[in-house]
Amino acid sequence: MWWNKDWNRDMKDAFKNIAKLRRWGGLRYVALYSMSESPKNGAEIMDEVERMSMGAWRPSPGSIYPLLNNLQEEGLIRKRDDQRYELTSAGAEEIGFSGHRHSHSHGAAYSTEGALAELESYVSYLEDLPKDKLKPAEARLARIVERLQRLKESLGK
Amino acid sequence: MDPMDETLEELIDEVDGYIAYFEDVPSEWLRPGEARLTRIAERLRKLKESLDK
Repeated sequence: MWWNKDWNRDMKDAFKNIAKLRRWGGLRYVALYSMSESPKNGAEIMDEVERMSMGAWRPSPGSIYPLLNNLQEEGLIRKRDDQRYELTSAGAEEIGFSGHRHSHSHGAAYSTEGALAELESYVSYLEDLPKDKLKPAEARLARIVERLQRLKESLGK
Repeated sequence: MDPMDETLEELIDEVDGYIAYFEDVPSEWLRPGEARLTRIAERLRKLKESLDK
């Protein structure tokens, strides 16, 4: 046969990358567009994407926050003192605007209860993993635990 | 340290993303879920501790 295991694996990787590119490319543009309207934090961008898609698409936090980090590294957005992101001139050029437009949008408050439920499912999955598989993530896990602790403390104030 | 495989890294990215989201939203949105958040934090703390052993 003209195909083999390597070819199958390469094709699988290729399809995976295409799916990833589509996901990031689409979200990247929509997030930049959203920030062109007004500075936003990650949660507000999620609300805006959901509003713009009439509820059909709500990106997960795991998609939005790494994307924001990448856009910042690329110099397309910058973080403000109020923790919201705004487009740089390079970011505005990226989506074809020479300047920022100003408008007000009112996305619906995201159900944090829903987000907590989703996070719980991730925790359950992590708990199910063999310890040796999880071990490389130990340092990141420790930072997550610290951030959660600070978050809890901030709610107690 | 062994490099994290892509699946695990993506999984931790997802969890990171949820935490970042909770840090962004107003406290009053999160307050009704405080007990649930506490349980999640406790489970993750235990998980992290289990890796130390």
